[in-house]
Amino acid sequence: MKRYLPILFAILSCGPTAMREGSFFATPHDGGMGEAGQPVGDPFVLGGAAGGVSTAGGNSSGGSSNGGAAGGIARGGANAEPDLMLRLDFENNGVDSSGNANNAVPYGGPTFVPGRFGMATRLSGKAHFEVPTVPPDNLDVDLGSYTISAWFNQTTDVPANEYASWIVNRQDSATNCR
Amino acid sequence: MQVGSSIAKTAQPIADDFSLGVSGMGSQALRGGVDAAQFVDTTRVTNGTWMFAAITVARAPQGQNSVMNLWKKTTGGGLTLVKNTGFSPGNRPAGPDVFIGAERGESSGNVGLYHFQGLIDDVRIYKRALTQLELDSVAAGNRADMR
Repeated sequence: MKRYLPILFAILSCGPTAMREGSFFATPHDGGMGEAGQPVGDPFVLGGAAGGVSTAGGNSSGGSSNGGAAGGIARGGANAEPDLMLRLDFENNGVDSSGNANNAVPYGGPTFVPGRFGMATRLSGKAHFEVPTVPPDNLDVDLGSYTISAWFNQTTDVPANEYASWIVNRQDSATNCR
Repeated sequence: MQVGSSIAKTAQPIADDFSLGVSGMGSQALRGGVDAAQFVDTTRVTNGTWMFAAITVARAPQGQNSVMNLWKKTTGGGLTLVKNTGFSPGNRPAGPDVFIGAERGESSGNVGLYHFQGLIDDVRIYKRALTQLELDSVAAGNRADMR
């Protein structure tokens, strides 16, 4: 039995790696994904059970446990939440945990810190995320009824001479209506 | 055939520009809206504290007014309806990217405009207007359909 233990250990150790290889990470652009420079949180397993997800960074507040029932539960496949088209938990990455692959791409170096539930993204300077629309665009919710929601924690006032700062925004540059 | 062809030619995507953020110009209050129906809360956002914000849009058939609600909730507080209003849906081209923490606007490349400074968590988009009970569930970090 002893001689099989190393093999068993190797298989178990390779499990998360295999999951990573089969998963999607939003590609970092100018600035990287986080304070550690790498997407340290294991990806959600879209379309399947994500139980037992651990964080490579060893951050106990990371991972997919959000303090709510939605965290840590498989969000794709048969257990997907009806009508949920996008959910960004910012658990050390911009992965969409709704199961719809509307992953957010970071620009300008957003970081990840403990947030309202698990981790959140910290934006400073020109850091932001973009969710690309790729036909067929399942984020064209604004053709019908829809809901947009987010938790936010502003740390610095909007400059007095600026119109606003946006948490979630979608607009066509040509019409530029806001 | 001509009728079908005519419908196909005249049918245009009726999409909205939507936004959720904090108003500047001395206000520093929650701001949100759809197209030209933009509203600013009367209470200043407290820096360093978490706030939940949501827009729900119930789309009416073309030619009728749709309904938009702007909601907010602070940690420990209840969900509050900031604004309820009817609006005429816009006629925007569908398909621009969704920005988190900024807007595309007329910026070039991927720089963005009107950048948010702070923390953002649990951003969600549903393809229907959630009820107040469902928003309460979402604000708690749960599924909308969890009771």
